[in-house]
Amino acid sequence: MQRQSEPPEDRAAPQWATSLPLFGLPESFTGLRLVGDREVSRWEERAHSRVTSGTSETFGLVHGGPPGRPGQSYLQVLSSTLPGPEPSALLTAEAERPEPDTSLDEAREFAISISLDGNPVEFRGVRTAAVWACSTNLPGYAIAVIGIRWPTNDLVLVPILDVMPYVEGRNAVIAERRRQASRGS
Amino acid sequence: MIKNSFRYRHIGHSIRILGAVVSTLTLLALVDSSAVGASVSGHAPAIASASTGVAKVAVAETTMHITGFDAAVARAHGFSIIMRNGVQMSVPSAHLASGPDNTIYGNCGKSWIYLTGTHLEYHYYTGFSVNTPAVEYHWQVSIVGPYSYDNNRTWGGGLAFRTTWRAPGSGDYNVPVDDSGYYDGKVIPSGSWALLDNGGYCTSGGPSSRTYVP
Repeated sequence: MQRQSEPPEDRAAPQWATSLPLFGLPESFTGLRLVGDREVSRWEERAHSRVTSGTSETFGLVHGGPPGRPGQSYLQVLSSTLPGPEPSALLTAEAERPEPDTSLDEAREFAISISLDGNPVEFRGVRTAAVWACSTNLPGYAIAVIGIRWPTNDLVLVPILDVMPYVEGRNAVIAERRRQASRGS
Repeated sequence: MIKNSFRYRHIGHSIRILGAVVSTLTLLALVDSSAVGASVSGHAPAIASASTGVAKVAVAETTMHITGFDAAVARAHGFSIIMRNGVQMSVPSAHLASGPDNTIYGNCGKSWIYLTGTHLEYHYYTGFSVNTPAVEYHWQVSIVGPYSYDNNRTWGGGLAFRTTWRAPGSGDYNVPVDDSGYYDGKVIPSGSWALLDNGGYCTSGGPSSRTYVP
């Protein structure tokens, strides 16, 4: 990867609109809220006279943190098209963060019940001492939850109908990081 | 391509692998197979003999299986015997000798793409690592193959201050294909970049990967 001063020509702002149902912590949580991992993927394959195509989508909402600095605690709730991400892959992705205590040593499977829109739903996943990730498939979509130094007990998730507070939270964190970077340079 | 059946043919046809056939007319059994270096087992059914003196050709079909490879024969024909997912395969040596730039490093990180081939299927994964947490990205991969095959995929959106992104999240994409041959994958630099949390952009150096799909 090569540093570049100008934005790429094809740069387009991330799409915040989604048809996926989103879930997050209830209003009683007063900490930071920000958009987390957001991905839209499209593919098109041409073989002989046949053309096939498809899309997949993931939208993550982060509570707490913010991520990207060692020692933070946060919870990310991901909504995805099916098939959703594997908990082991989510755990691996967290272990790739440059933090000292997110190693995958002694990862073990676990199951928990999370209140999702008022209904208890069983999630299955894997956990280490500091990080856990679990998921469940629902009709038409998947929900995954990643906790970084976040307790698993009594988790309550509610539908999030307005994503703008999360977008504004993300923008505020990025603006602060850039201020810090410009002061440091 | 490995044939699953064979036919006895008149003498004079091209010969690749010889099988013994006994008949009163002394026909030669010919088996057509391009699995270079392969040892083939099959059971040739009995051929009806002719007593009239008129040459006849008996046609018989049976299933054939590769039971192993002769490495020396394969090598003599420019092929190498490799193990892929626990299965022995014969692939052109030229492919193994080539060194595509699977991973390309730069001053703010690295990016990669890896293709591997198995029987009428290729597998790939791609991604990047950057030295500073990223908040946004776009990624574009193009894979081309025989008979104008192409597969274009893009990914894009936001990242939760991550320094590594890979697709798929674990393992490989498994893509079944119709045709054997070389498949070439490339990360397209103009469409593959990460926006860092300090406001800088990091663009892929355009790694590439080639595999042979037997």
